[in-house]
Amino acid sequence: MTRAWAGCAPTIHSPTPAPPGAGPRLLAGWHETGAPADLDEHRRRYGRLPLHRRAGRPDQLIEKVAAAGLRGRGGAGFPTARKLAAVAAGRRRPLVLANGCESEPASAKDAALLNLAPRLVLDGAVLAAHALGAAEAVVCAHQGALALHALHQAIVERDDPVPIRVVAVPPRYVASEESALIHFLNTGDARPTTTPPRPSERGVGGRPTLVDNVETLAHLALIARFGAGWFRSVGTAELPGTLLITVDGAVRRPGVYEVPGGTALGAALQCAGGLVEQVHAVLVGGYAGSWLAVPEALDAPLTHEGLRTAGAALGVAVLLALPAEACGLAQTAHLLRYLAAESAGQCGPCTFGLPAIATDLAELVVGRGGHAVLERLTRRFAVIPRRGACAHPDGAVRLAASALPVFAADLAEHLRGRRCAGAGHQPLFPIPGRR
Amino acid sequence: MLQVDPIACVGRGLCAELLPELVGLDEWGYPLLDRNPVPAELIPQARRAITACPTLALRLQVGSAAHAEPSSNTDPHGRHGHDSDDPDEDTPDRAQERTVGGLAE
Repeated sequence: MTRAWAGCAPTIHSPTPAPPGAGPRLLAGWHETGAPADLDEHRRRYGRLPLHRRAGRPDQLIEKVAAAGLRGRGGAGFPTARKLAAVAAGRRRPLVLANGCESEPASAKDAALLNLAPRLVLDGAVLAAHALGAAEAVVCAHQGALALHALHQAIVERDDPVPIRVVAVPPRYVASEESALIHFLNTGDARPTTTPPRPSERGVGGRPTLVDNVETLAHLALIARFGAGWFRSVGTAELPGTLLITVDGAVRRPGVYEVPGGTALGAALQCAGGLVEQVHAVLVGGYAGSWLAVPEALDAPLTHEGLRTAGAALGVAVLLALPAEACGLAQTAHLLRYLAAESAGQCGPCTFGLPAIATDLAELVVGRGGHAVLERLTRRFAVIPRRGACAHPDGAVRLAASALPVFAADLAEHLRGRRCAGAGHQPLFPIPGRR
Repeated sequence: MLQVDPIACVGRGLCAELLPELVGLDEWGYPLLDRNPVPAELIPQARRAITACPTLALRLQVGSAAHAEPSSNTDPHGRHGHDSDDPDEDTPDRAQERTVGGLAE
């Protein structure tokens, strides 16, 4: 699903590889050859793994990553160096978890990375593990993911100082959440838990555990080789480097793209060939993200802070362009139904609250209930968030609440008891488990 | 400050019966807790509510009034979302806090 980078610069082969130029970094290999790199090609392009002479010496790596300003690419954008430092400060021998689960159905960036450049991810995991003196590195992906095969292939050829193993995780939405992943590795139960203790203190097997998104580790692997200055040569001060984004919906070439941090939302849509029809709204961040109105949203920069100002969150950098003829409320109702079904069922406000708001939205969409339902829905928005063990309910509320102002015109029609043409439409975006 | 372990809580509602000044219930029977520190005169009542909870879900967080709640990151792909991070690193030193819960008192 990966596509061209606009203005790709040719990569120069030389005995000491030059740092990737002003073009794709993680996807450089794919852009050049159209195929995943084998180990030789990987070494030619990126050089050997710059391991410290001794294991358990994390300071150099932490310094480099801190200077680079790398922020996690798994959704929260937490500074990676601080996480490394927290794990390094633990007393017991730590462990590295590379999270490639990507349970967000609309996101394809981690799958693309794992299928096209798994060696970069493994490099990053090994570099972090070696620097931290970790016992092992564990790479996680969902059961049935194609990436599992690519990972196994890549690992078999390697000879790393730290053992790597691959773990297949149940394909549930909340299973890839940090505490759920650790809970699964510890007990086989893939549901989130409450913190404390934090993973960096006590995670897998009670050890300090570094949990990083696979894309974060791939960037780390390049920072270790080419340095902080190189990493910061693209992107913004807030979000240095590049990031992988998934663009889907009413665009010419849906797919995964690699763009500099801070790229405007409109420019990101252009990477995917631009809009193919009238679009009034874009869903930003994934199914638990927020709707933003177009054209106002087109200037918003793809950074955590920039999108927050615009009323959304970067999340895992998914952009879904909704065709104008669709009913945004109906589509949101479909997503809410999915999110409600994906509750782990552990916490009351989520277990009961999400189906309740999904039903409220569904009623509104078919023109039933009017203002009473809208008021009830709004009250529920205030009561559900921040009362669960994880932020799953918060995301669902965020999505639903963002739909009301963005699709205000549709809402007004529905409140008058009128269905719109789009109300009966099937979901436009992939919903696992539905035909 | 009162806190509830949302996973342990099953919505039995004894806390709201015993401490209505500080605990309400949502429409599904789950506790809505006052987020301010518990006033001194209500501490004995709070302790009775904590002891009465059949799943030991209710706790009293003593010490700094900072968040110690599990879901302080509202980003769905954050700590609670998918492989994320630890927003709690910004909160005040946890060594200052003592937790009083269950039958400990």
